[in-house]
Amino acid sequence: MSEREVCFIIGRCDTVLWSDASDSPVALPDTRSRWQAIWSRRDDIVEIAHTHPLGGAHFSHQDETTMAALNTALGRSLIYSVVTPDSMLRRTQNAEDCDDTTDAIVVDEPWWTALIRVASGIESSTGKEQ
Amino acid sequence: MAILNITYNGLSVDYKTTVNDRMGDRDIRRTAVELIRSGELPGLHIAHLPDDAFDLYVVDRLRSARGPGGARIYLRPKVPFGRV
Repeated sequence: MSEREVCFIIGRCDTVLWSDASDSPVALPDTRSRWQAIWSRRDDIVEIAHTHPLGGAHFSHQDETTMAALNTALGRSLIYSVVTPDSMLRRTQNAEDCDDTTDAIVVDEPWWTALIRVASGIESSTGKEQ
Repeated sequence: MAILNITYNGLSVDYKTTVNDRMGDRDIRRTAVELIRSGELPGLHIAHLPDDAFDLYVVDRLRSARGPGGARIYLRPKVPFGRV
């Protein structure tokens, strides 16, 4: 399978609520269906994750502006994460300060990172062992 | 003409008056800012909403199969992600 970016919408107890994929390893274009999936599940969403199959454990400018737009629309801040072949970066919000966020590499990854790597076409030999 | 729907701060609201569906995206964003500032949208009254409140939003236009009058314009957040 060729590499492609994948998006997971994650709910409570690490449930995968919805997913979609692009046909590109470096982009996950805007779609109305992704927004509709987010809005219709807004009460249940905990986290939105996407992959960077070619690596790069950071939030791109595209990611940053989309996260800002989503938080504005939803009226609350979600958790966001980027999954790469060998790491997972997660952004969480400080409970006491809405403008204060923390980015950290996740050492104990949730179960679905194996699934999102497979869906992204990331080679198992480079993927994180579960 | 079209119904304008705006999603902001956890609310999704239809403007009670139809708008010209030929308005450009910039004018749609400006209109939305003014509607919220003036309290024209139920539950969405923010007097000091910044001019750039919808700069990261997409203007999504849906034509109706029922013909003119059923069109809708959604002002919604953009949702692309990506490494670049």
